[in-house]
Amino acid sequence: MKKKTIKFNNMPPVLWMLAVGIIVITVIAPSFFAINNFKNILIQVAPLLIISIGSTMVILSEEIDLSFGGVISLSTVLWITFLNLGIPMFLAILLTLLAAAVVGAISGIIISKGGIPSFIVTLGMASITSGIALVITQGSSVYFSHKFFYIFVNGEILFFPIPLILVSIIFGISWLLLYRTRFGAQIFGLGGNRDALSLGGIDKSKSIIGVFSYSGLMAGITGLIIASKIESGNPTTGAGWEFDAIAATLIGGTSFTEGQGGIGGTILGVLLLIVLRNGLNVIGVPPMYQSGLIGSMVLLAIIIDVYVSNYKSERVKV
Amino acid sequence: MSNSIEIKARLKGLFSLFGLLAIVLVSSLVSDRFLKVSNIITILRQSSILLILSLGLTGVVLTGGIDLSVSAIAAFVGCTVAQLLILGMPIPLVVLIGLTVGAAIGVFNGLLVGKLKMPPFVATYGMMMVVNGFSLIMMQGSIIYGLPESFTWFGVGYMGFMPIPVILAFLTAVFFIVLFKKTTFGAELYILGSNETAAKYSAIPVDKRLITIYGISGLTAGLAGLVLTARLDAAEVAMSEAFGLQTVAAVVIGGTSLLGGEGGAFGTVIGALILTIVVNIMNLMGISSFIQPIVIGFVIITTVFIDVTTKKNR
Repeated sequence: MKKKTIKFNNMPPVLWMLAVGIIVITVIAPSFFAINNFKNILIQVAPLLIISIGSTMVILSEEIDLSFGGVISLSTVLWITFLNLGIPMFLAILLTLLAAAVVGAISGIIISKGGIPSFIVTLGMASITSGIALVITQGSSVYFSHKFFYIFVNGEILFFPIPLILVSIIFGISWLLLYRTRFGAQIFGLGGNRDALSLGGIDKSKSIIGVFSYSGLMAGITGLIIASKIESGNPTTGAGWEFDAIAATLIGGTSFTEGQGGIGGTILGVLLLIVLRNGLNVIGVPPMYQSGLIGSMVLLAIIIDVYVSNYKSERVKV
Repeated sequence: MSNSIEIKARLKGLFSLFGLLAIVLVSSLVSDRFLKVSNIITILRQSSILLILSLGLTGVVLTGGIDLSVSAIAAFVGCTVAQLLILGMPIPLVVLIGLTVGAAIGVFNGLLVGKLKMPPFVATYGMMMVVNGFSLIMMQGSIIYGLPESFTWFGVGYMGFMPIPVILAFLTAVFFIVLFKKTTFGAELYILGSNETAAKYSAIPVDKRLITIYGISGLTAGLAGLVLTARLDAAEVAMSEAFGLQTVAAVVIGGTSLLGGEGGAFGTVIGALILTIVVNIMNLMGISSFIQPIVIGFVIITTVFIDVTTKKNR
């Protein structure tokens, strides 16, 4: 009986926000509610969902990763640069993803071994990675042409868009990692009660390094998708993605305290962000207005979420 | 015991001062023009806007928080002010509006952190994105230039041989040194940063203090935005982007601990000077400006690393 009420209470407000958003946009612009547009939305979901899965795992462990933007930019630049050096496609992808994961691992090592707040380490890392991307490209874009780019973004297997298949596989793997492995249990443990984790003889720093490497890897994969889309590497293309990823995570009901939430809610958070953006486009709001509008709505959604959970925890205390 | 801690804290303050002296010494060896009065004044002027931004941030960091929105607020205030000046509004009114807008955004940050208990970096990072978005809406991608001369005086004018921005930065620094070290409010900030529970039990209204200090941080960001706009004689959305991480770097180099409760405004003055000189020398030596973000990221991580590890050893 008690369990049931707790579950109901934990239902994220994102569900009704999503419903209200879809209804309002459909009323203003009926063309939003079309199968073709839904397919569009699903394709747009892919890169943001991948990065947000990484962000969710980091936040579940009560840390934060602000370096996504820099790592994404660096990944696009590295990949294209490797290809320009004549490295074969498969190897170039592998090297790029390895580099992204290594950046995450370095952050994780500094955070766990040094005991430094993760926001400052990853903020510094964001600056370093985008600086490296700037140095490699000398401030401009690098280009390469290959049919793989088009297939990667626009291809379909049995009517399923390839980005969607990719994100489904990544979600499946991440779900298994989180809920079916020791590593996953340790992530929730980091967010829940760190002292208990140490008492249980678990090496906290290993799990932290693991989480940050994984989120670095996610940033790398997102970088590959973005680079394929713009068919180039650009040292500033990732800017702002870290905000979207964190926003999607928080709106999806994952909170910084007590390991609450999970990657399921993050899907809804990502959907809400993409629906809002797509909706504003369909309605015809100029791009210049969108970042301010979406930023405000996102901050409002986070405030509502925090407010609701504060209210609940105060009631529990009483 | 408490004595030795105090001595160590003082030594740390001296440490950054020695850092500054060492850098000045090396620089004067590298370039014989470096120690000329004119060059020193140039460096002071270059550091003034960074310093004003970082001083407000210092108060927030003393409480164990962070304000990542200061440079975005500065740009927003700069753009607002430029728009109003173009409309022909009187300068004193425009300055007042600019400062009020900055303080209001800061107070909003304070409400999110103090009342809603949001983690400071989430609240202020979100605020940064929102404020940037509104700057974009206001400017529509344009650049405003050709502001009234009596306004640009704040950025390019002189009083005697001292540039106005330097005088403003100096006054701001004095204000903060007194605020942190000589007032109850300042003492409460330190207590808040070292132990929030203790602060609560000693009847300090934590949320009110947080709202005030984030408001002050917004106010100094507004002031920096005004001076920057006056100096550039122009305003655009990305005008203060470079200051984003530099402010955090200036504060931590100056010896204010990101964990809160330790440091002060004088350290930040030194931190801002060190950072400006380093960037200046990199420019003089012809090092590509693309490397600067790498250096600044590296400096922040290393400085905080040293701070945290020395704290552990205590």
